[in-house]
Amino acid sequence: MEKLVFQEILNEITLPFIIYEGNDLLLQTVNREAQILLGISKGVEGKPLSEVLQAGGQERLIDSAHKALTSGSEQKLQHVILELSDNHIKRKVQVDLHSKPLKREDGSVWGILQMLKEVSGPAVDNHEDRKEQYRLIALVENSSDLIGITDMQGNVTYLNKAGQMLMGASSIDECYRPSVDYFIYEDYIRLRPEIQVSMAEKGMWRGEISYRHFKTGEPILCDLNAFVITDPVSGQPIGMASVTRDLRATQAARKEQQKLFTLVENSADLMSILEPNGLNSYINKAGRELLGFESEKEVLSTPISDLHSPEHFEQVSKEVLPALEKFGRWEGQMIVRHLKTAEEFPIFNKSIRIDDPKTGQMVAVGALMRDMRPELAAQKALSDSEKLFREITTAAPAALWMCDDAQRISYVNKVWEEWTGQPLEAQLGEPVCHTVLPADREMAELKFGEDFKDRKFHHCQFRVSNGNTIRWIIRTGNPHYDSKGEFIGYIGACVDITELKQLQEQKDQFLGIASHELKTPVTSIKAYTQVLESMLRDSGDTKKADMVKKMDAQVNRLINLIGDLLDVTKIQTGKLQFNDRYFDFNEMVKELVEDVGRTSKKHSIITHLEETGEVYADRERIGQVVTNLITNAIKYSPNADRIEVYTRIENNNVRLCVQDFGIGIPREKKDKVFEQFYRVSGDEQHTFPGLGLGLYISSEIVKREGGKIWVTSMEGRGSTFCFSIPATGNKKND
Amino acid sequence: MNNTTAKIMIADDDPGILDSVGIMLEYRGYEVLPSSKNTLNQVQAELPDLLLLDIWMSGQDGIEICKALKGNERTREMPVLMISASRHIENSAFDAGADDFLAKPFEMEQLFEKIEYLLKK
Repeated sequence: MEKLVFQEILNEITLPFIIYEGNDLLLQTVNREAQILLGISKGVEGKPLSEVLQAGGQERLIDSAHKALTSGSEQKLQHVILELSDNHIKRKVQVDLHSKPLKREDGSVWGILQMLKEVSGPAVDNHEDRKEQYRLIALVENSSDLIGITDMQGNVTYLNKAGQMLMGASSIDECYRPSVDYFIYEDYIRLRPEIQVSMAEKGMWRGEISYRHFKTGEPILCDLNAFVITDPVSGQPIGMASVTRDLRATQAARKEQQKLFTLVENSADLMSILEPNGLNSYINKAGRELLGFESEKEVLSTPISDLHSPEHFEQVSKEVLPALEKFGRWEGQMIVRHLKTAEEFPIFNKSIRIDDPKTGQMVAVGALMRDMRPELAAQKALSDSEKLFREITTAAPAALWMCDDAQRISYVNKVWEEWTGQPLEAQLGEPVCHTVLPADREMAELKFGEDFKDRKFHHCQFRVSNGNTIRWIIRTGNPHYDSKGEFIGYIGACVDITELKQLQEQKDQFLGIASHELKTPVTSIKAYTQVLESMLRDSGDTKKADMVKKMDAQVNRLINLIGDLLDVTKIQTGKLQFNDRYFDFNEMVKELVEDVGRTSKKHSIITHLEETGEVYADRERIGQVVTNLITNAIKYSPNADRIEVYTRIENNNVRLCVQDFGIGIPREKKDKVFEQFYRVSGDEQHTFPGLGLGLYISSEIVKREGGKIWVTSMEGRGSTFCFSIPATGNKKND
Repeated sequence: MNNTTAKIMIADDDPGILDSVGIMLEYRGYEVLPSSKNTLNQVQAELPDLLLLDIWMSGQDGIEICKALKGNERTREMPVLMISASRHIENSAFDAGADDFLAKPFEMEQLFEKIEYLLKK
């Protein structure tokens, strides 16, 4: 308590003094006046002066105190100049220094009382002014702006805390450097002439310049306000001060604003700001073009009533503005008028009221508008297109249909409604085959299901009925995809082939009857020729007998042609008969090779028959296939002299292959040879007779016996035709 | 050239077949009995050694005639060789009791082979 009172008394003494204690001269007391004079703060007791007065000036004080301590006598010095630094501001103080030893009763020195009497001089600060200066320094030091001082040589001698932070300096020492180091070099070079002229003429310069961060080199855009400091006595410039504000946040905001403006200005939609006085303060480029404004200035002087006919402006005044007043927003369609052409057109308008955030009063109306003409034109085009589509589908002789990705009907046209006797509404959502006659439905569903699964072209024949008429239909369809390529169902057409079917049936019947009727006279002719041949041969007239034999061979050709026509008819009407029974396959092959071999003197037929055993099939029909393959091999290898026939058992199937060394088949035509009426075309082939039915009939026979037929061939090198049938037979006989 | 004395009746509604096949059979030494419009009665009256029977005849049904002959004790053993331009009818012929079947048009040698085989049986 006493100590505190003593301390307070010491502080009230107007003469600055310091009390040092002990041989290390540790500070015991620094009174308030001394703190102000030396620019040091409280709480320094117990520390050496050198630690407290780091910036200089302490040497003279310590030296004086030390001498007093060691000599035990008072030390007096006059006009001592102390170079001090307060918060990095350098200053000089002139004092009369009086260091007096403090002694114990035994005469030993325990401390030093050092009094500092300030004396004024031309080169030092005035004591009374310094208090004000100290406050100013505190203000400058703590300013949020960068404040710095540069000497006449262009070196920075002071930078406040904000400045150090901005520049990334760790201490004030880093800041004592030429001012050029503070700026982005290019900026500095660019602006230097302007700054120099301005400083010389006006004593100040203000503008934007990029500082350079000491550590990262990052540019820092700042607003720099620099001015010359002059000596109040001589009026000569003694340095330069600068107050700088970091513009980065402002710059970022400015950029954002510019972006936003660019966006708005270049938006395809019309954007505007309407002031309470009924004039637009802004209409973007799209809006100006749309409404016929020639300049931004014209926007500012055109009342919105000019943008509507009187009739349509009523909507604005009676509906839009009151709604904005009441609800703060309005949206809807309105008619506007082009300023120059007076053309009226619809727009969609979305307006919002903009209020003053403080008063809540409406300050403007922001509007976003879209020209409705393209949209309406597109709608009309779509509507026209739909109408046209409906008219076409109604007028089309074919039925049209669509289904979704779940095989459910999504559309059928009038024709299909008529053929099935069911209106569209009753068919929507139903399975695609629901109107197919029950007798054909399972087959139609199976076929559609398979095609649908593989997303392939659909083709199917079936019957439908509307209650009065049964029609034969060919239905076709293709997978349907949306604009993104997603599968969305099938779309297709149905054609009425009832007449075609009837004609086909008539043709089949005719061919059947005709070929049947042909066989009877042919049988008679054969009988006559054979008996005639026998008679002539018996009478020794071999020449005539041979001629009649040739006649019989030609009759056989005719019989084969009739047989083929009849077979094709039967295949198409599903009446091809099979009388399956067990027979020795190789035995049959040997017989046929022998029979056919007799017809060609040129070719030798070489057999390679592995054990096949018995098979269960129609011997006649399978024999017909073998004969067809061997006779073809002979026919299409006119320049070769041998045919190879192979048989073997493989995977419980009997396989037969006939290899020739003839003209071969072009690769692209290989799959067509099993088609009805197909004949290999080409120069050489013109000389090959036939109806083009043999391989078709053979393939149908093999298929019906549960087997398969194929060919491998090389054009100019020959072909190998093969078929295989189950050795155990195919019980599915017709 | 066995059974040259055998009597063969030809039942066909086509005069060409009757004539040509008849000539051939006669040339081979058989006795040929041309059929009338009532084949069944004629067969039962004349009892040939073999009947060459067409299936589809105008006014007569070969299948029914065959069935009737095979159902009658007197004619049951008489061989019936059925002929037709329709090969698929073969099964029906056998079902009716025919001893063999030959599809038109046929080789005369085939016909002779079958006739000789049936006559031997």
